[in-house]
Amino acid sequence: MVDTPLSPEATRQLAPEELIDVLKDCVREVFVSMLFSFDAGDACEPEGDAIAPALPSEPAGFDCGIEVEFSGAVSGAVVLRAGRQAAEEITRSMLMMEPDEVLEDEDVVDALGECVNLVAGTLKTRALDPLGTFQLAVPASLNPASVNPALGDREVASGRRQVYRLSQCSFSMEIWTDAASAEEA
Amino acid sequence: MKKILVVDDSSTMRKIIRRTLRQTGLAFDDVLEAENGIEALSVLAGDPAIRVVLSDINMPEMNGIELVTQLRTQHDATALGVVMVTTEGGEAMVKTAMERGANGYVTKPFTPDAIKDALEVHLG
Repeated sequence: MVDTPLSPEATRQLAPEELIDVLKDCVREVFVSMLFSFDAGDACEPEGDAIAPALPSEPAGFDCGIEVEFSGAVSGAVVLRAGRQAAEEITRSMLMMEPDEVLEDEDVVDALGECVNLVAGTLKTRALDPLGTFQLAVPASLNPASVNPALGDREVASGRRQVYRLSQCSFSMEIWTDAASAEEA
Repeated sequence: MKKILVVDDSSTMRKIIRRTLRQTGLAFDDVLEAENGIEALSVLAGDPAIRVVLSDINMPEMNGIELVTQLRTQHDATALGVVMVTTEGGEAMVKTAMERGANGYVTKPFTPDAIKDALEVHLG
């Protein structure tokens, strides 16, 4: 299951709009492979085809946020935001839990972190890192009240969000790049 | 007795792999866990029934590449299988792992079939 990565030249030229397209493919791959109890079609189809050119405000009801920062030729973060119901649905599916199994908060944070880690790792392999020079940080909780992730002392240049609908709830996957990356592109 | 050792610093990923193993239909007696390479070496030293190790690469203390390198000084590749299970899908990393003695390489996200294919030969 080793994907063919894009060339380094293509990687450097990926605009934010193109990055979110690759991110969508990565989310689909992770969800189809790892979220066993989901209907793949329902879970992986983005809600509509609108991609916000920027993120003016926080989506209502998303009170969990996890980010995985990446650094290399392009630096930024992959972010998952979800409400409690979506977070639990993703966790139960990832861990293949029975309906009567008790879900601890720690399980939810760990599972969402692993989910973002898998998406970021797939993105790294497929689009960002054909030469193996990118670094991924460990998953970290994101203050749900903040619109964008804190990229250390770096200035955020752009963000793209894709919302996904589960059976009765939604979550979002986002990709953010920092200002230095945008200038180089 | 046929045992499998899962080495990953993420408790969530260890749970996922453990449950995925149950879905493969492969015959094994037990699944053991370790959080990093050093812990894996300790578990292996105390249990000769372990037939195959499924190891992540990026881990604290001792990473998966260091682990497989160390294991190949002690165990022949036919006696103990080592399969890397990692998000690191770059060609250079795959090449390094195989050169150090890994028997197989599965990238995350994985399917039960990918795990089954990688383990079948070691549990037959």
